[in-house]
Amino acid sequence: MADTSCGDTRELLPDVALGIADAGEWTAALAHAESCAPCREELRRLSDTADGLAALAPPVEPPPGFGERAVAALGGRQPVPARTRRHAWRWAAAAGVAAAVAAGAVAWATTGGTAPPQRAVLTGQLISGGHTIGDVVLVETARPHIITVHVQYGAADGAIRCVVVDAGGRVLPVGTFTLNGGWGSWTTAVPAGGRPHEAVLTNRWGTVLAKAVLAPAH
Amino acid sequence: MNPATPDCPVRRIAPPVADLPDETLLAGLCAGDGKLTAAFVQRFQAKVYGVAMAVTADPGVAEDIAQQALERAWQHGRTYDPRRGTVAAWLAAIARNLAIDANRIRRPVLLDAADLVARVVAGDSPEARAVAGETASELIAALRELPPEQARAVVLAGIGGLTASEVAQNEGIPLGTAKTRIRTALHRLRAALVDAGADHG
Repeated sequence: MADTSCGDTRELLPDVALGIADAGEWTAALAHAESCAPCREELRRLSDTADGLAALAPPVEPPPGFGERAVAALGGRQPVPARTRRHAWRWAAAAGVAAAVAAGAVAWATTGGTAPPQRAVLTGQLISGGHTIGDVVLVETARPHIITVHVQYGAADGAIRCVVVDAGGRVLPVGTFTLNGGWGSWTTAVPAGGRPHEAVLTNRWGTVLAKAVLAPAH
Repeated sequence: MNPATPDCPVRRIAPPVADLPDETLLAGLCAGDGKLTAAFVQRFQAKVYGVAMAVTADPGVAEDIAQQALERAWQHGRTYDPRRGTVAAWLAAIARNLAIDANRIRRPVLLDAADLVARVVAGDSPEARAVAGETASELIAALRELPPEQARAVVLAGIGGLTASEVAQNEGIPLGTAKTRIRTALHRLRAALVDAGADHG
């Protein structure tokens, strides 16, 4: 990728500092700042200003009872080590895959095959803005494949779309799913296509929210 | 009977919880201390809820986000670095990011930019400074000096979490104009902090 100039980068730094640059601008600006001390320092100063600005949102008293509910949810507990909590749902993902594989095995058994079909398990982390927000596990079976997605995307409620892009660039629609409090988990079938390459989550208007590059599980 | 008589003074060996610094309350939250957790929530609930309301303009969504921001603080409090800013600013950033995520999968939110600027500028008070730090006061003063259209643009982006194209739509202006206003305004705010000596870089 060609490096951007200081002039181009300086133009983008306010957007990067405010967190409103798009992915391409973000990547280009950070790649340049990585090797340019003056631009890096300018970004640091603008980021400090942007952070201070974000903190100026006027305080608003929440509805009655909020504080009590929050304390009840938090109080007197030690946080579970992040690794355990962050990965707890991956165990659920593994359980989902086990169920999916079992379902596939049952389907094979009832169709009277003589040998279990060859299966590969592909996995990938859903990345959004440089952060991992979930996991995808895709089990290649005799068609259709089975995909399990677990996502924790902010605290949002709403619909989220999932597609799989195969190695030939063909887009295979998986479905539209609902997030509750940012949490969503589903297992479903993937339409027939080429070798799955990438799982993509979008909002209902098509804006890409997260992607996971799929690779064979180790 | 009150034991604190002139003949038998009781030395206070620890300040009241409400007087403890933010960092101590955060440490208590992470340690699972019920009393300090309650004090932490009491001190910061209006801040995180206010940030969430500024971005989402939806009380129900904002309440969920505020709750989740407090849980993130509880979960990740040990990663807080006081050199990067106050606990309030750190929490505000957490709540803002959660709220922006929420907005991305909800229908687009139209914010009243002028009202938001007015409420931010009106928020400068000794109490606000105690929570948000002196930099907040300098930033508010700098916002007052900006041309109104620049102040609206940078507040929509910096507090409301709107992208340049969303600012353009919100303000009814071309995208290029929105970008120029946002970028110029942020540079001016930064220059004002340098002039005021509030930028310690």
